[in-house]
Amino acid sequence: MSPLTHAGETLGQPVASRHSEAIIPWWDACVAFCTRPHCLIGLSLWRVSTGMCLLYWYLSHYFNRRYLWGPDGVVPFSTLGEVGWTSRLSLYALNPSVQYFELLFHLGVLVAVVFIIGWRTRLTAPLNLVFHYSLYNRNHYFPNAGDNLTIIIQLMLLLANTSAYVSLDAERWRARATGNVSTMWRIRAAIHNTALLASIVQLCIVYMTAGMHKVSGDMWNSGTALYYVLRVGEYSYPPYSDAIARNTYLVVALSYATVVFQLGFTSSLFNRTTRLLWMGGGLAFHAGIAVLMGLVTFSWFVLSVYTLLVADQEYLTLARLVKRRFRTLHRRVGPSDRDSTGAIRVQTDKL
Amino acid sequence: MDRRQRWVLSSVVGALLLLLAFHFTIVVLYNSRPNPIKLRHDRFITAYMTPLFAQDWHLFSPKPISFDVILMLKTRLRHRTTAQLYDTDWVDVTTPILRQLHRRRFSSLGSLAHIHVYTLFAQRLPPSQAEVYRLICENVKDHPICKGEPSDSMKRSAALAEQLRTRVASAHAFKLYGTRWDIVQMKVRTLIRRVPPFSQRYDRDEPRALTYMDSEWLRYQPTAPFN
Repeated sequence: MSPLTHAGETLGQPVASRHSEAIIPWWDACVAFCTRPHCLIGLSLWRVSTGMCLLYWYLSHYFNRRYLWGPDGVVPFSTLGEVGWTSRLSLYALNPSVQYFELLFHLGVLVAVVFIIGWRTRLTAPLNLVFHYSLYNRNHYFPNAGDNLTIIIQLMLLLANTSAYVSLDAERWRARATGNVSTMWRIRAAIHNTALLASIVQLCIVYMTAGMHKVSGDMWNSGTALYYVLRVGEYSYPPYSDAIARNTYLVVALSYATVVFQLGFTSSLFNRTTRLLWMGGGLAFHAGIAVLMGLVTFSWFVLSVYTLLVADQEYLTLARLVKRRFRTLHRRVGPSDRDSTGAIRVQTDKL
Repeated sequence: MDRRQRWVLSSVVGALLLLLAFHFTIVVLYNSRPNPIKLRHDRFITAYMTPLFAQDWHLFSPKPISFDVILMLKTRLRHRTTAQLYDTDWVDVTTPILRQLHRRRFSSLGSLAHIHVYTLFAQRLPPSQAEVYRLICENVKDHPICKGEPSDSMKRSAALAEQLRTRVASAHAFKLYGTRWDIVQMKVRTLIRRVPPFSQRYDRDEPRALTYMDSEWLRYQPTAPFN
């Protein structure tokens, strides 16, 4: 029995019987909703996606790690503190030796792997945050907004259950989830939901703030902003970005679409159709940023947060649809069409 | 659910919702443009948000970047046997990185290129601080920061930018010459190459507007190599 349905059954009471003792009926319903854990699948997918992006970040910078973060790199150990007091909020600021740096860096990689597989997440999630935050503060000259967002989201989601699915902790969580639901369990669920809501609101603030800044910019107002960005060497991908930058219709349409997308994101979440439409647009938007502008980790980190926008029931419906489709495809190539090894038998007279 | 449990849970949910409302009120004020409420409570807002919730979502706005920052390097070398000094020509160290970045999308080359841009940006004010300075100068003409006199934080930023420039230049100089020569000093030319205006996007022969600034001779500092 899925822990979702089990938790729903043990928590639920018929609404009619609650009316006689209700404080305020709508408030009671709100409390009942808030004290059931939501988006467990989405949070687990967020954990896996964010962990994989972090691992990619570590590995893609592996051969330049000492140049970028090492004690004798572009930000030497001796100048930490001068670049800003936050640079001291780092494990890398504790010791100037190269061996210490290498140990920490490789531990960070290991912790990211354990975070992905979801083992002892209550311990590895804060550890992963500490290692990521340490690297972020060690050299803040090149991390991007994706790192900024992920660190804040990771901090908030320390209070949520991100290992109910797709993790080694899942079985232990399921065993604990069965049985009677206590007040403490409900309070933990409420805190879990608060962390989830905070993450979604933070994503909305990102888009809303960026959209409002764009509205006050001349280039965005005139629909030419994308032309300038795509012509900058660091953010271009010749010849594709040049082709877009020279096309007036694409430049203007995509520049305005960016602003509309960012400003409309928050209100789109209140309706299922607009939410899915905006999510699809966001996927295309960030895929374009990753490929054309080379901001891979930024897009990946932001898209990881999108997993929180889909309810558990919607994931289960999607999974059922995919399974049904897979079964239909499998039935079309039935057992009589396969030989003893399981390979598909080809009718040679039809070739 | 008994009455006591219902009251406990109602209190917890209420407190959590209030906490969320408080937190995101501060977050919204922090991210907003300068306004009377933000300026009045700026110290509290900054103390609350920094460092754990510090954030900046300008994301290519209001004005997206519209120029390339190209670093060029002139190096003063010493021959290892004769001890003779020799100055190289200017060498472009940014464009090869960008060319490789265009060929290898999924690599750390974007970060290497970004560090070059930061040798210029490191001495600029963060966008939110620049907005506050602009407002001050619009209303208080005699303020020291409006007279072009650098503040302490500006001086610190300029020193850090020079430090970053020295380290980046040292790493490039070693990569270019370090195996055969002793590196004594480097000079860095920061070239700012503007994207042509939108109206001239089809003019392939139109030269891009260029400005540049040269540093003083910078002392070589051994820096970890890059790939």
